[in-house]
Amino acid sequence: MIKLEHVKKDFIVNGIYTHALKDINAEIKEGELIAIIGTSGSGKSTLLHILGGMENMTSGRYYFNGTDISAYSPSEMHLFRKENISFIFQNFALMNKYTVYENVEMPLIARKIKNRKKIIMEKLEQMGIAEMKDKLPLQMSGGQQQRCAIARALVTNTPVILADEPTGALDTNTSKDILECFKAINKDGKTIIIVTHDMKVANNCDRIIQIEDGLIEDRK
Amino acid sequence: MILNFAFDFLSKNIRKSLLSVFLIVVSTLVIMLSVILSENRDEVYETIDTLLVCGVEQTVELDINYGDDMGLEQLKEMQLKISEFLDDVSEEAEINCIGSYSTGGYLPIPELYEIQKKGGATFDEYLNMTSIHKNAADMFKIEITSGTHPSEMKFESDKDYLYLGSGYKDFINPGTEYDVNGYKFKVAGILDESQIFFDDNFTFGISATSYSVTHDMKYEILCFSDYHTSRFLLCANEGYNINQAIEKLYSVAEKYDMEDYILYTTLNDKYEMANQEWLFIKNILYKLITIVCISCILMLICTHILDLLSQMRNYGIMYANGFSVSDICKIITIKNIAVSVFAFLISIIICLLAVNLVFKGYEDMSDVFNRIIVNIAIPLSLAVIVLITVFITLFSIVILRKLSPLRMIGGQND
Ligand SMILES: Nc1ncnc2c1ncn2[C@@H]1O[C@H](COP(=O)(O)OP(=O)(O)OP(=O)(O)O)[C@@H](O)[C@H]1O
Ligand SMILES: [Mg+2]
Repeated sequence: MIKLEHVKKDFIVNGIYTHALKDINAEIKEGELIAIIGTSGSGKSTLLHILGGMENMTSGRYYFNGTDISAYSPSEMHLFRKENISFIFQNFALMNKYTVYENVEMPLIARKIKNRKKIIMEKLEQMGIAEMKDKLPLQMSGGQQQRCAIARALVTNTPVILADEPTGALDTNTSKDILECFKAINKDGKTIIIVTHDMKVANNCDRIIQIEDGLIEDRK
Repeated sequence: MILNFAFDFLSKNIRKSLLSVFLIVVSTLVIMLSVILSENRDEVYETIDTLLVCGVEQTVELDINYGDDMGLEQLKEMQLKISEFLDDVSEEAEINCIGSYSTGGYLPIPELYEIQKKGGATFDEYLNMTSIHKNAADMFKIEITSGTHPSEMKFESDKDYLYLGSGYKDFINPGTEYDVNGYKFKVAGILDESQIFFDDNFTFGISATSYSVTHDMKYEILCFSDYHTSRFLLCANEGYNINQAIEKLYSVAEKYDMEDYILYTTLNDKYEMANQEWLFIKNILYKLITIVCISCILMLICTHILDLLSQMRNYGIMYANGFSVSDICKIITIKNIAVSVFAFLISIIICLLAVNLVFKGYEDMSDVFNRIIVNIAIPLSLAVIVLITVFITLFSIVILRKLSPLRMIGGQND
């Protein structure tokens, strides 16, 4: 489903180059549940952003279902994301002046989906934050915000879900719940890629991609 | 849906929205003020120009001043001489007419005074009349609804001829004659409702309030008589310019040994002179206005940029969650238009209210100002607002189009 060939990503800040990704080659099949692990600063988030079409790569090829999308224009990329990708950001990226309910509703509005209430409440209940639907993100704990962000990613029914540290702010029990939840969705045929520090989470996935200093390390 | 988001963003950032509204209101009002200040001058010129049959360009104001250290006999002699001189002057081909006019209290005619009281009489028991020399019958644009027009009237020297304002028309008929202590008056006609006339000693005023160089004639009276004051207007004939007329005037005056008594200023010069003083004030005003206006517009742009930056994260979240950049641009456009329209309406209301409050009781003036506001001030400030709105909106759109959702959200760290 997804194929990366010689993907490179450089950041230039004040004339200083950071080679975040050096030469990434990877293949991900439909329906896989994949964990990306690596030390801090190794390039995990950057890789996930490129997979999600949130960021351009410096060079390399990205095939999605056989189509080369590396040279897509911003608007083509937008349509690609809208159809295929749900993204859970490391910092949740919730709109602070909107309630939990409104935050989760947003992707549905953007896709002009009707009968939103039922879908939203279902996901909120699944994440255990249904009774907080009228709270603002900043009135909730980090874990609750994270669950809100996950609920928002799950409402849209896209084939690929990308999650950057989805269990980072959660205790072990809740982490387990979330993981179970991901596994359940994965069983429905969705491709899920999770960036994580937590080896317990990683070991529960179908496959682990370890990335070190911008390169994929072979796992022994 | 997009509308909802636009108004949501506005109401969730109410302070910033109100600041934008405030800035637009201030700059619009300032623009309107400057238009009123500059347009007002031309209104004065035009009013006078239309009231004078020959127009401002062809008219000169004369001061015939023969000194006050004269005995009664000498004075009478002098006045006779001036009369002859004036008759002589008006015969010349270069000169259309010459004559004086003045306003003051005249002999009481109770019947007319009762009617004038309704319009607010100026004097006790005496009629307020504008007296025009018979020679100047063709000088002013006078419209009548009944009676004989002054330019067609055969004036007899033993009477004065009265033209009454439209307020008298139901009570007095043309042809009515009065005899007050041996002075004879005849009502020669009734003036049209639209008739206006110069205020006493009109000058081109400097401030907006001295705009009022004319007044309506509803309860006023024009009196054509043989009476001269020392202030005259002289109009050049068609085909001659005003300088030729003045030259002729002086050559006739030489014959009467009077050239030293006559001082003249063309109305055009007077207008320019008043304008000079006015220009000085206007310059300062315009500088102030420009400063206020530019700082408002700059602040407005800054507020919008700040707003764009502070909303960038939200826009990015929307972008990452399926809204397209053009959806987001629509939201920004609607937002900006809503703020501008709202602010613009407030400005118009404030401006109209202010003019009508300040000039309460001066119907003419508030009419003129309302016309200036509607015809010039509103379109001009509308154009400015539209320009600013378009600029700000385009600016936002250009910036948004360049950014990825990740950049908009501000990277992964807030
Ligand atoms: N927007 C950016 N501009 C400049 N450098 C960046 C940017 N984003 C990431 N980097 C750099 O790229 C490298 C990889 O960053 P990345 O965020 O992918 O790490 P990570 O593996 O997700 O780390 P963490 O586990 O802390 O989230 C780092 O050296 C980082 O400093
Ligand atoms: Mg990261």
